[in-house]
Amino acid sequence: MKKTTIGLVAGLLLTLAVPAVAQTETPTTEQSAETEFAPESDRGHGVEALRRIVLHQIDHRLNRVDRLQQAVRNSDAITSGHAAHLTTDLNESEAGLRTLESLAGSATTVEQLRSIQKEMVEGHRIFVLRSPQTALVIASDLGVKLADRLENVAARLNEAADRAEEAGFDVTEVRALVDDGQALTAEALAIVDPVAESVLPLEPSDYPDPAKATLRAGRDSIHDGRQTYRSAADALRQAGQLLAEIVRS
Amino acid sequence: MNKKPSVIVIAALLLVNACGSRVGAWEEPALESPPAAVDVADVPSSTDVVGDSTTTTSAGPSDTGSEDFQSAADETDETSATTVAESATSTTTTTSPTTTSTSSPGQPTTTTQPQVDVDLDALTEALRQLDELMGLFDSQVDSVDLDETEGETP
Repeated sequence: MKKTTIGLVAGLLLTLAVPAVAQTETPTTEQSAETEFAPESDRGHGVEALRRIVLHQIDHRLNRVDRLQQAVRNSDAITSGHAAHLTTDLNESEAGLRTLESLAGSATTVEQLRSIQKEMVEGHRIFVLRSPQTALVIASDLGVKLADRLENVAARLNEAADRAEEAGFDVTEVRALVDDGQALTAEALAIVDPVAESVLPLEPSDYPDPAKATLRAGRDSIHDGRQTYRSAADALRQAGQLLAEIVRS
Repeated sequence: MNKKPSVIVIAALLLVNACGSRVGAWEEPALESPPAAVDVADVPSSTDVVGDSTTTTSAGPSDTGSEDFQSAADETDETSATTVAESATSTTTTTSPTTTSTSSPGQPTTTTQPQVDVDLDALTEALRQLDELMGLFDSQVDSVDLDETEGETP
């Protein structure tokens, strides 16, 4: 009796499991709709699932565009020209994505949604182009501001060294450090300044070529510039410390 | 009763000893105190002079608050315009060779510790602001991300 009962239960369980497996198999096409450019499917169930995904992806991009616009507004280093250029591009992206959002809301077929998805990605390139482009332009302009600050500090150190020298102190080493700092500042500026202009003209249609290489070169330049700025700041810091030791001695 | 005379004697001896040492000091003033060291190393004596000159020439008070350091007139505007840190790093100016010579007659007019008209506080602040801007630049450079893809989802 027990064996019979067990057998019946097992049979019932199997009966219930098979349709579940079947159901998990068929949504493959629907599950693939979770990803970009999934295979064609014209089922009503697939359209709604894909619509949700596309709307979610568009919303994600709109959020990013909003953050990029805020970053441009909040930067006190970005030049007005660069800010205007970026703002125009980002506003166009926002408008384009809103249009796609509206189209996705009224799409009736998977093909329409796929087309919207494709345009969302290739027509705007929010993550692979607009995001790093904005960050690089702001970094480049901030680097220019940093050079200005370094020059200012170097000038003040030189003035202080002049006074110390007039008082009879030997400031040779201080001046050498300040000179190093100024040279390194100029070197870093030459690396960092052109980055903004190199990446600003890039458009979604430039991706992947030449946009990818241009963005990478810009990123590498910013990194190199940062290292050189650090060395410049170190030199000026050392000059300040040495000068303080001299005048207090 | 027997102890009183010896106590008196001892007290008298002590008194004589004390008087004798004072007489010795008066007889050799040059050896007893180092007026040269005091006048050169004793900052208050020179800063009294500098302070006087500073108060007469200074356009405003030093914002260091330190009795050891004072700014010259031409530095005062700068120092008041800057946010100044603790006074320890600020140095003051101007030795006055003539005044040191009057306060310490017989001492050379050249001082061993020339003071410099440098506002180290302002320099320290400038370097601090530089570090702050370097930090902002660092953050901005780090925010450049080329690893994202268009397939990313939040």
